[in-house]
Amino acid sequence: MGPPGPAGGGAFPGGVPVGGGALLRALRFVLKGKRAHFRRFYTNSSALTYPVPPPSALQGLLGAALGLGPEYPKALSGLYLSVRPLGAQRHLFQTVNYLFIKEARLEELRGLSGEGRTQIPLQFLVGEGGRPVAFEVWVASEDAHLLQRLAGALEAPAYPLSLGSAFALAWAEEVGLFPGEVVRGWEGEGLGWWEAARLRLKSPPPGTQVYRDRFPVLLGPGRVPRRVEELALEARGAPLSVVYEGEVLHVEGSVWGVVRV
Amino acid sequence: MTEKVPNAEILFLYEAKDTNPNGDPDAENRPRMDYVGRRLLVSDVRLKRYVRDYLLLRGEDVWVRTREDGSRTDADGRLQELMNLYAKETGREAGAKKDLDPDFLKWYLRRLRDVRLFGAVLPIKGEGEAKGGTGQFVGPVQFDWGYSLHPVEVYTATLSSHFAGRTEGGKGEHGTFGKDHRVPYALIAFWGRVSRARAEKVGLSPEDLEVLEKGLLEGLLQGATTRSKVGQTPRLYLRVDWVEGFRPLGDPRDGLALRPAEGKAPEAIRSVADYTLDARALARGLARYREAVARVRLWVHPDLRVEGLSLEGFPLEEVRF
Repeated sequence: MGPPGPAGGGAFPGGVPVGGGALLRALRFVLKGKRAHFRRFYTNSSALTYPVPPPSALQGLLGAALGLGPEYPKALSGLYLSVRPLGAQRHLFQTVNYLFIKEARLEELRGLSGEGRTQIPLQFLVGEGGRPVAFEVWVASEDAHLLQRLAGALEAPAYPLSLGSAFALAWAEEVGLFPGEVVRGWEGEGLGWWEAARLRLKSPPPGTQVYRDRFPVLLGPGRVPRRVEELALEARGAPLSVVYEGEVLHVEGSVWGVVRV
Repeated sequence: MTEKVPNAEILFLYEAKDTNPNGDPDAENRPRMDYVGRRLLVSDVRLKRYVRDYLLLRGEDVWVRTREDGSRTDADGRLQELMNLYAKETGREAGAKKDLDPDFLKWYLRRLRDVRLFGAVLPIKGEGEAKGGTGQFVGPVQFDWGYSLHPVEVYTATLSSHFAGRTEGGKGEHGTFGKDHRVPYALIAFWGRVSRARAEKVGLSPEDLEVLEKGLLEGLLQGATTRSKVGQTPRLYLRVDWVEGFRPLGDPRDGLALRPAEGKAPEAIRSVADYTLDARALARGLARYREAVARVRLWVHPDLRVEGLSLEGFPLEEVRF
């Protein structure tokens, strides 16, 4: 995997990168499904969803495509990730009837305990008008061979892809590879997600919807968040005009705020 | 060499007529609905319940089952019975109830077909695992939630009961009223996937998949016999086996369009005779990946009118039902 962090030398605050960034390969794909649920890790009695797959979910999805097991966080460390929603989305709530598991006794697992079941409101993301819910995803790395493998795996994944929950079946479209560059700092329009502490918005136009939340970036054993970051993104996937001190990916004429996993 | 479980896509359609296909526990047991999209919804859990009940009717045990008689004594007795059975078959102890032996869990996998199909979360420590580790069997077969292929409306009737609602303290010694929520008609479509890699981890066999097919087709008819579930009929089953990996076919339901009979509004559909299922887009999608398809298994109810499901050139197997 590549060196720790980009070489820097980006444009902040001048607006144009002036070289010195890390030249990378960038993989783009569109991730689609009929419903998505990316559980906000801090929710308890209700299962609320993020509007996009968190970095940890994207890393897991790429691991599933390659057929990796629990070793996937190590095998896929160092990737730069970014995402935005594509198309109109809305929320849908359904209450699900889960087994009540407290001590993992066999009676509980079989639904035979005195507590029986517990009902959890579950929030889905669905597409408007019956269309799929969709996300544009970028993955960048200096390891061109890995990205080539990922591109093939997304088109013919080893494990089925899903949008969060295993039942939220998914597929990848428009898989492509491009040259890109990661630099630190950017002033201008950009897409994807941004570290909130390094972000300043420039006169957001009316209608801008900025979503800001704590996202799991890396998971540890038992899927417990090991690294959490506060990220911001435009909830409809529209570009934001920003002054940003974090890392961005320049690719195909656009700029994407990235998170390194 | 033993045949391997394929990576596969499953499309399963069934109709629900004057019934409540899947009650929402948070909405007075009204049928699950996406009221904005005007589509009826059915959870994957409800569909898998039909299969599990079918397995029970076959005389098999299943992992996730409902209370038998509500008695914890019986539940403990049941656990002891299974542990005794394990000891009798293997000559080994199953371990403590809170720390079961990993070999006991392997025995469970062999015993419980529903775990091999749909998985289970077993937060039970195994040997060599870190404290607090879980034993999770991810199901090789996953179904996305089902939904109706057309707009659906819910109607409600009031029921009266001759039995008392409550008798404590002399209260309620009279009949009571209740609400009964149903849909007049819905053609419900499920999309599922089978994962070979996951199948290998839990020992799912091709025979298990045959039982799954029967569980979907026969199980729906056998299981949907209660008052709230009666009136459900399987209409179409399609399984596409991939040569390797998966291909981005997308959701096969997107390749279906329900065309109401002339002059009928989509929400006025009341029977299978009121529409034609247009599957031309699905056939086109499949044709794009013809070389990647190892086999197609198909069953269509004779009363369902399907147009455009052209599968010429595909290795086609008829599902007997």
